[in-house]
Amino acid sequence: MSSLTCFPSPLPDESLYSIFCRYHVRSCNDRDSTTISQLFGQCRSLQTSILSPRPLKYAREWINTTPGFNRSSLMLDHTAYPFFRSFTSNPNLNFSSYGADMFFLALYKNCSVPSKRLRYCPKCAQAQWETFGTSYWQILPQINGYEICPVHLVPIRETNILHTDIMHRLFPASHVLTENKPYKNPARFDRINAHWNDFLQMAQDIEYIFRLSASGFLLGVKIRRVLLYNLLPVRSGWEYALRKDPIIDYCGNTDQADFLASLYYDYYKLATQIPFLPAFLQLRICRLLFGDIRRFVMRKV
Amino acid sequence: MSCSAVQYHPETIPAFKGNPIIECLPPRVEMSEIIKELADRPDYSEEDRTGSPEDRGMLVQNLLRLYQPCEKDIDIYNKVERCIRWGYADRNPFSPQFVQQRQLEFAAQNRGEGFVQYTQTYHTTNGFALLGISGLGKSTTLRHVLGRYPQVIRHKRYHDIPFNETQITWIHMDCPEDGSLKGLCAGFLEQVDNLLGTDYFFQYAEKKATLNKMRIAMARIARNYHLGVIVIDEIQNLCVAKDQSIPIKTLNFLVTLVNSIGVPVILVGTPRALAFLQKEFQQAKRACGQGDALWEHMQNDSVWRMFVTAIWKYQYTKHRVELTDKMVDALFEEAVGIPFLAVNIYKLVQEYAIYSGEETFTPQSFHTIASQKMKLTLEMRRSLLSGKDINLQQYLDLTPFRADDFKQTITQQINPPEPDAPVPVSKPDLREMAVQALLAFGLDRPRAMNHVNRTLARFPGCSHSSVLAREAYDDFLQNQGTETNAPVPAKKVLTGNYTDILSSGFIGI
Repeated sequence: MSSLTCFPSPLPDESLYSIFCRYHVRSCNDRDSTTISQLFGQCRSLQTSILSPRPLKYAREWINTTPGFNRSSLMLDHTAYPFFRSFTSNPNLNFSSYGADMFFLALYKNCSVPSKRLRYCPKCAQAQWETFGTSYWQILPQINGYEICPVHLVPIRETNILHTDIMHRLFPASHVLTENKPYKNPARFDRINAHWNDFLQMAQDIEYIFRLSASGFLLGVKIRRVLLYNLLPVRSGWEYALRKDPIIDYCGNTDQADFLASLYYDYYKLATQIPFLPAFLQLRICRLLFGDIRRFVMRKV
Repeated sequence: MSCSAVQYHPETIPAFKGNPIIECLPPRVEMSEIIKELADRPDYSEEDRTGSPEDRGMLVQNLLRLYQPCEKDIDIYNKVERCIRWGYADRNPFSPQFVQQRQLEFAAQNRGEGFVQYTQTYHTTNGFALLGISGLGKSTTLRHVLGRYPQVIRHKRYHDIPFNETQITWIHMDCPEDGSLKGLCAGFLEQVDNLLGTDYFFQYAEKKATLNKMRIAMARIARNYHLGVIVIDEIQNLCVAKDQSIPIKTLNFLVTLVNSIGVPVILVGTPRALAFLQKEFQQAKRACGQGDALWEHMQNDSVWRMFVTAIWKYQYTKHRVELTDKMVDALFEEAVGIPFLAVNIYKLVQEYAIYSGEETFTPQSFHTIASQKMKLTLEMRRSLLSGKDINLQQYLDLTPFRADDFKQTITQQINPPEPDAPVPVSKPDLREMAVQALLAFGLDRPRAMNHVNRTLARFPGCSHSSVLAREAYDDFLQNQGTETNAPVPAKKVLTGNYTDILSSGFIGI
């Protein structure tokens, strides 16, 4: 198959997995496996976590023949790759499992309640339904630490769909959200309510980092070309970088130091050097000393 | 598969504006231009008449490719235009409601439910039925009209908005021979696969597939690929179904497609299809949504002469034969106003003239050739020409259409006849049940029968036995004194008001 007849145009902040789900709805295919085989040939699995760009490695030729798509744009705009890529120069970084973000800042890990389920903001989902006629899985709510929607100021909700389930199944968000009740986790909500302001700040940090890495713009100036040279090949010629100048591979592995990673490390190193403090206290100390991460990065740049 | 680069033509009608699946259609053209666009005239030159008999015998076949539209074809073109564009009017893919319908239908299919309850109703969508005896060119006309539209359109961008959609503007398919809905769905899926390279037939039409699953798949595919119109040819095939409920089920499903998905359906067939199209108002209404398209064979008038003039040009005999009134009449007599027969007879006459070496022909040639080489249709042609009623059992497809019958069906459904209208009633079960009820009142059978018959004569439209029995009993009570010779009821079991007795539980009808 050279191109897919009705591959959907990606929506804002939509995850790659969600695009596949919407394709499944539009394709009128009888079974998930039929859609998966159309997308990935003989592979029986989506080869994915909700956040990972890994499926792009296995995508068949449709990805280059379907108008408006290419691997690079899908990876940067519709996976969490830019976010995770910002924090590490670890050559073994791998996005192929839901636990990949465990490398992420120890602070966030300690503060949040790691989730293994697909998550959504109920207000965003409602707005999507009314605006686009369909709800979809966004990227940011799937990141641990993003527990409150900064736009609508409501807690992120969990569904009954486990991350492990999506390896072989396609769960369109509209279908899941209308057919299933949300997963009940009172302990998580208690924790969010108890630390509302900290979680809100954390969600704003995550969103800022994600946008910064994905767009490459800061203060209206395209700084990536000047300062974040490591990311330049990723933006302009991802496949070229992969093969000729191995900065990064399909799994997000990298072998070069990263400006942003060092920047974020600087921000949190003080807190991480005081391991015996409670997690939220560590965050507060960081903010007391350096301001929020947005101001810290801007000052450094 | 016919694919084309998409060009969007701005629409002037407000309901069509901003709808890419309408704006991508070929722009509407003026009436004078339509004939030129629809006509299909093979190349012809006078030099063709100088070739060898073998070459000329081959060239005569060009007549079969000739298509000369006339007034009724333009009418069909206008109907199809309205069908497609208004069918799309409420299906703008940019509207959230349209996308929501997709999601809801997906959910319904996953639950194994139907889709109708989740869909909106499309009021602007109408199809029509094109009925007429064989050979009038119904299918040919539709093929030429539909040929104006690219069958598959692959959208990429619409005014700089990413718009990756595939649109199927029309599907022309034959009604399955057994008239079954399953066969219809399977044929549809096969057509879509041929057009798009998909494998829906394999997915949905396998042996174990249920009818419900196929129906929903067909409806979903029609919506997702923005199907403009479905043309179902040979719709009279529904008549051959052994189970009499099959045509109704199939037609009901087609009505559902029109109402719920918004896809117009055009039914094409012979007058035989009237048998079931006239049965239900729902069908009759849909069949004339764009006005009647009920074709009868041509009359020997100016239109016929225009048609004969158009085909006369394609003459390959060495000696040119001029078109005279006698020629026109002779051809009409043999072809009985059916274009297909006219073209064939004209072709056969020329073939005979070329191969026999005569290289010319006369009006008598038409009669001779038609009687010698078209024996199979001889009796039918004679019947049609004489205007006599044709044996329905023998030539169902040739039964001349009576438009009044069709209109009467619709009129009766909209304005039901008054109770005293002379509608024949023959309901032996109804009559017997009423008689039984009167027997329980103590009347003897002849008198009970007499009163029931009298009541039926007064209320021929009566369809409930209880009502009939009540009226008959009232009739008995009113005429009790006047019936001098009437025997006394053998045994009067019950007296009093019928309704009270009935409600007391004495009589169970």
